[in-house]
Amino acid sequence: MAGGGVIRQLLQRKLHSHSIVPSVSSFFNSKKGHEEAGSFGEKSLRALALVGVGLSGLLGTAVVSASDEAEHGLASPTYPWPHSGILSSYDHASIRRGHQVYTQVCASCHSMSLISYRDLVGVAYTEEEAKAMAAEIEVVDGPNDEGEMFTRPGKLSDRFPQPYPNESAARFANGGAYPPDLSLITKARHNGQNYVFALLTGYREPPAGISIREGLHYNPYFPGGAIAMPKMLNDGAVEYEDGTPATEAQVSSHLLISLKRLKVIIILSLASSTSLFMMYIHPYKKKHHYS
Amino acid sequence: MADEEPVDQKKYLEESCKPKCVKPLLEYEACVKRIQGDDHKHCTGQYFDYWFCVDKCVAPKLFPKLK
Repeated sequence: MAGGGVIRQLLQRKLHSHSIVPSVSSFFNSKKGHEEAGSFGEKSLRALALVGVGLSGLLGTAVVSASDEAEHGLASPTYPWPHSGILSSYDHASIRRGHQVYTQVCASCHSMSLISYRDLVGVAYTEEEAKAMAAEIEVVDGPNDEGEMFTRPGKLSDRFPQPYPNESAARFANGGAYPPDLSLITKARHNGQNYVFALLTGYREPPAGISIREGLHYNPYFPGGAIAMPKMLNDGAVEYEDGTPATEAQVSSHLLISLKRLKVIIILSLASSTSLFMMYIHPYKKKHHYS
Repeated sequence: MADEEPVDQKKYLEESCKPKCVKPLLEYEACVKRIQGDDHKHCTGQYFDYWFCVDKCVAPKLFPKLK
């Protein structure tokens, strides 16, 4: 602020000295020196305007950085995930429970459309269990020999069902906000696994001076602070089939472990199917040229 | 061995980490007092500092408590 005042004073002094010169020179060069004399005053004015713009830009950035932290969201801590070490592996029971959390709590709004029932076999469920789960859903298939679409019970090869037919329907049902697909969510968010865990368990009262409009909820980890999703995981809200006690933190940790593990499956299967495709179906060969 | 009403481990640890983060908590409360009555100010900075401290304290202790 003080620096701006000094600059203004310097410029005013310059303007003063220049204002004498143009008036004198214009008096003498009234006919041809017109443009030159005018340009002195113009140049100073322009310089003053530029300084003004620069100052307001500087002040503006000062204000922006104060609200910047809410825009970025509170940084999530690094949790010591049991599968973090080089030699550590995923706990199958946790993945199984995480999948149960997804189907009981999240699947009503979030799709997981890159995952098939067969991805669960050997990871969270046996083949029979996965088949039984798949058979509970109805899938549209076809056309049949008569040209009609029909519904049939699901198979292992079917993808997880989607809660909404398209994004517009999802937004309409959720106040304009789109519940993102969770297949790759831990990869699609910075510091994914820690961020999602912190987000799910981090619903708190907003700080003094912040009010959130009706329909949104305060979450410090969410960029901007106002998230459309309400707090979903509460103590005792999820019942595990094996009777494990389900506090909010436990449920969140199981969910995150399974989200990360299933994401790994997708990426590995995408990578292997792409390379197999390139090797056998669409090999790149030098075309033989016959003369 | 499982309680009827399981106590959330994270909330419990956040309470126990409060004494470690007294300084940012006092800063936050001072800010709340300072901005009383002023509609255009908020204490997000101090709030974030406090919760960042608590999170750092809770994170390493949390997972051993979860099954």
